[in-house]
Amino acid sequence: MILFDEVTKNYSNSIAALSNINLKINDADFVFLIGSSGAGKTTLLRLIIRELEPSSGSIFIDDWEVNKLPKDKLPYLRRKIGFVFQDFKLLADRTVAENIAVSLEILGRQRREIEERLADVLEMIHLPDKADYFPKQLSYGEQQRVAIGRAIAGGSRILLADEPTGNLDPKTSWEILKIINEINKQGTTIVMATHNVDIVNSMKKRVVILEKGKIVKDSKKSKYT
Amino acid sequence: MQIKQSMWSRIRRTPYQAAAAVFMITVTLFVLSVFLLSATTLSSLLAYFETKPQITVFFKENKEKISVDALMEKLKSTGKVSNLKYISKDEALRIYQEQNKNDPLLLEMVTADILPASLEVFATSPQYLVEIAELVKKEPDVDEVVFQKEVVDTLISWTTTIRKIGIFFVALLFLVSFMILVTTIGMKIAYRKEEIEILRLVGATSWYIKRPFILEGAYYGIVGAFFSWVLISSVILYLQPFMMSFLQGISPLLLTRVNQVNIYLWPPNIMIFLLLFTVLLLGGLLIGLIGSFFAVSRYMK
Repeated sequence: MILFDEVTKNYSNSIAALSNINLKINDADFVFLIGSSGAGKTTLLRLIIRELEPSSGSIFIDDWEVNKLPKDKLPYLRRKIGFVFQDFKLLADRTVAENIAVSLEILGRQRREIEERLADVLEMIHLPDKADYFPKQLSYGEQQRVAIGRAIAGGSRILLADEPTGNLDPKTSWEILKIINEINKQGTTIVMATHNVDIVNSMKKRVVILEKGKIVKDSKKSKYT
Repeated sequence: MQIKQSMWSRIRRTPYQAAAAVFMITVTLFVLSVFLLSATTLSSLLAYFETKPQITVFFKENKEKISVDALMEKLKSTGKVSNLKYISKDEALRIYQEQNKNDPLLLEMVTADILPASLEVFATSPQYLVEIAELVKKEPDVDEVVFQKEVVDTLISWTTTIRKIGIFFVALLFLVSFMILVTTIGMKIAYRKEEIEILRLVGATSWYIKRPFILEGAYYGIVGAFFSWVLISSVILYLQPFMMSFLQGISPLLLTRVNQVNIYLWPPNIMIFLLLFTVLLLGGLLIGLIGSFFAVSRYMK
């Protein structure tokens, strides 16, 4: 469960990126965050992994109050949460397999266990034959699939995706969506920020609309036009 | 496995920086070992001479045999002399020939005429050396008196000087190596800033991110230690014949005693090479680890 309780985030120039956000996302929910650029979608996602700290209010992930966690506990919070970025953020000098394995290595998993899990994840992201490729050798869609693979390999129960289809053509975007939807069906909570209205409309999931840092609409299976 | 791979890929990406770091550590440790060996050899020589209460008296040309006998009698009567040994010109030539049997050129140049006769005086205790020397110097046929106090004083002076110069140079080189290492690791951290950020976002602990950089520093230290060991060992083996001649007549120099086992500084032996390797390895690791720890704490906040 993710809970935002009266959360406000002001940047140093006093502009409120988010104002009094109250939001509850239950386990295994699939939530689209939509809104124009600067509406606060990315800020909201970055607050969840405490890449940013709220100016006021509290954020909870299960029993953990995110903004009060000691700094040395941050890695453990982030292991609960997979994050997919618009620009993929893959390690350029590591192969597909190594990029995915990173999230298992940081958990201290044994080599054999890593190899087994790696095979499952590569299958899930439809890249079993490209394990030894480097990111540069992959298309954007394939790179985004690797990023998703890395985000879920460690068994995160929450997947945050910030414009994961932003750099992709419609066909590839749908492939990515299918994979994310599959992950959600296995019980992972998904929070996805997007501009892609077609995707939002056809997926029929919960939609949270942000405008100028405020939630203006929050409805399950609503149609956004 | 990934950490090692990661470390190797970093070293391969910046081979010149890595070479500079290893080179400086090698030079530092080589200089450290030169000064360490010089200082310990002089200290051991000092200890050796301090256990040998000996004076060598050189006589003038054409001295009377009677005067030597008289001097010997006079010395014996003091009760402070344990042994006396007269070395004639011919005997001196024989000793010289024995010492330089491998150098025909030196043998050709010297005859018995140019070597002085001498008297070796062994005191019952080092404390009598000055007294005996003063007594001998008053004799008219005596040309020069060399006694261990002078040798010991010279050795003390050398040892002190070498220690002071050594500490200065080694400290300076340690500082330079440290700075180069910090810069090298610091540049790599800056170069991999994005990777570090990604690792943080996926939940890597601070130690997981820092570890490859610290290992890299330790690796430079180990490689630098190995090269410096090869270098100093080669120098020791190259200088061995010269040193053998220089230290001729001196029994093996004891460095220390560990678990009933004597470790000799001279002549070169497997134990001293192993000990040297251990010291250099520890020195290399120390520079490598301190440098990389400093770099990660300075550049990875």
